[in-house]
Amino acid sequence: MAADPFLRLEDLTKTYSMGEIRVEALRGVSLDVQRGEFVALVGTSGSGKSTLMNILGCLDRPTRGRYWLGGVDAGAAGDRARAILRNTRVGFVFQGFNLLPRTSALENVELPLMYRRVGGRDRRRRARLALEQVGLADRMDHPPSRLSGGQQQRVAIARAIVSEPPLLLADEPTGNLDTRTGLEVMALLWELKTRSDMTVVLVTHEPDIARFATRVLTMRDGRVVGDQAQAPEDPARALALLGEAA
Amino acid sequence: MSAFLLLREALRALARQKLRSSLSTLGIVISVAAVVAMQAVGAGASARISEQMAGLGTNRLVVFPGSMRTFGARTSAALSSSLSEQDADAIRTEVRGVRHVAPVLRVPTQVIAGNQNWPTTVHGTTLEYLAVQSWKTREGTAWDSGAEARGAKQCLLGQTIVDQLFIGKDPMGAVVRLGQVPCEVIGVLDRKGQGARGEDQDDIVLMPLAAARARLSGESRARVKTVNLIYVTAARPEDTSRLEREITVLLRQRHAIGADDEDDFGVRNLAEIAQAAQSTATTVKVLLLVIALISLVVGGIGIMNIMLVSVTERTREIGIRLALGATATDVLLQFLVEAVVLTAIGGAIGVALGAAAARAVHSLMGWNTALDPKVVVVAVCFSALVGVVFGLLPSIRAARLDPIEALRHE
Ligand SMILES: Nc1ncnc2c1ncn2[C@@H]1O[C@H](COP(=O)(O)OP(=O)(O)OP(=O)(O)O)[C@@H](O)[C@H]1O
Ligand SMILES: [Mg+2]
Repeated sequence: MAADPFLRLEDLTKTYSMGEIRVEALRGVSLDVQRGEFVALVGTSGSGKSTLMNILGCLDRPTRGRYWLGGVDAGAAGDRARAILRNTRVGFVFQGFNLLPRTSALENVELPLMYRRVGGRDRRRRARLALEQVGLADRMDHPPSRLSGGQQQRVAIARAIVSEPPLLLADEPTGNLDTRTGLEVMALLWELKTRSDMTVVLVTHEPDIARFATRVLTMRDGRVVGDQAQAPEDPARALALLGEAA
Repeated sequence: MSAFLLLREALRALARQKLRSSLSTLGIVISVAAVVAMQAVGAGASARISEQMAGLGTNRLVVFPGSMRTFGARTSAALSSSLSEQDADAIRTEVRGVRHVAPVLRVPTQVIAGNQNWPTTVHGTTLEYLAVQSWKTREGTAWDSGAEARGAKQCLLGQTIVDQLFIGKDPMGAVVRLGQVPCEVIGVLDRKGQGARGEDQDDIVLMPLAAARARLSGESRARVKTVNLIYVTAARPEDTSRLEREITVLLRQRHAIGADDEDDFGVRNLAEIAQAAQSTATTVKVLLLVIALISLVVGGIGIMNIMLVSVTERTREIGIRLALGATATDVLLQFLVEAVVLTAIGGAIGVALGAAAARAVHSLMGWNTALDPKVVVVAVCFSALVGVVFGLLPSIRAARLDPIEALRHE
């Protein structure tokens, strides 16, 4: 057997029960993801993409099946262990940004480090660095309410990568952004991914976004029905083309 | 998170909702202020009572007629008083350790000087009265023993009488009429001010007992020479209680009271009165303190209410923090520290307000106030404790939130 994959999912199921009604959001997902892959997760609405992401990100536990994250049996881990896994191994980027309101960009980015008990000076230095990497060196003191959507998403990305997690999860990160800003965010993710050895799993509705992934997984009714490796396009080029067209 | 970070985050969170934070801690502020002010004023009042107690003289006893233990309840019944001058003489001769005995006959009388008149109470008494009261004359001197024995028509005026009847005139040597009886003014008493029950102690005329009895009371020929009060002082303060007992036995015997019958007189130990006042003050203080603590608890419930609302409102924030790796403990501590900071700040402000209120009482009413640093520490610690107790439920609720549910919360 080859080296253990970075992510390994074995027959994952997730059943939500609301009183009498049982919703089977995942019906047996088995999957390996290697370190450094850029996976796009596509599929119809309600097919279970977000449910799967929550389990991958240790926010939720599968009803049945197993999930290993970097060799750790994350599917069976308790609340506290999963909190620590989230803090150290996972970065989240949400469709709705999910920044703390009335809190400066810098402080938002500092949060994961705070829960990791990184000291004040080191924490600020690393948060600044992350914000510089996403091109927001001049907006550090702004609260989310004084940032554009694209800027807010870049703060969220800075927050997700500040603790240098091996896994970055993004659930429709471009869903609330216009085409151009979406491309910019993709270019940023791409750049960050190539710079480190991050594994990225990204949910999207738009085929336009999925083309930047190295692998596309298609879901339907709680199952993975398509799994395609592809040569990714470079979002920077797409951005340049968009500039020419305009 | 470190203690410093927790504190900073809590202060920031509270600062984001300034009005709400201040209103929610108002209950704590007020109750702590009340505790501190009450303690300060109460301590001052105790000190004042102690002073008065020292002033009353702990070696003093008052014997009064009637079985009721209410001081002065039977003053109008002067003629039917069960006490007599003979009782006073018996106390003087038969009880060991007595220093002064001063019987007093009180006669309500109109005092007239020129065209002015004033209703007062003439106290017919002996020279020892001034010693018992540690009272001195301001002008002139008291009558001598010869005058006392023959019942000379001489009198000492209290300051109030002088103020009322001798406006701009010198009372010394003047003749006033007590009812129908002309009487020479031989001295003026020092000003004594208000008594313990607010009465004017300077509204008084003193004259020899024999003169008061013969000229004013109209009972000169009665066999029993009644009096309204007998003041007794002990030579040594520690004998006071013994004297009280012995006087009781003596008077029961003299009044021929059967073993099963009640006293027809009372003996009051002034030290006891002061102690009673002191213990009343303490009781009131404790009661007020209990009320203040109850209001502190009510304030705590207010804090809990606001914290619960805050947890609900900030569910999404909690979800974000959980997603970023906060543990349940981190979330619990975050809200708990907020509650404690809120109540501790409330407590500190309350202490400041209470101290200011005590100062105000001091300067407005002239009461002594004494702020005890111990009370300050206890007040702040107790309000912090209220924060822990009443912050716990909302904090636990926050810590138990499911990350996904919390993130989905609108
Ligand atoms: N907490 C829940 N309780 C009950 N059912 C749920 C819950 N969360 C999700 N579901 C159900 O599980 C199924 C999968 O939902 P999920 O959010 O994973 O879909 P999705 O693929 O992300 O859809 P979309 O593209 O619209 O975001 C849906 O039918 C949904 O109704
Ligand atoms: Mg979804």
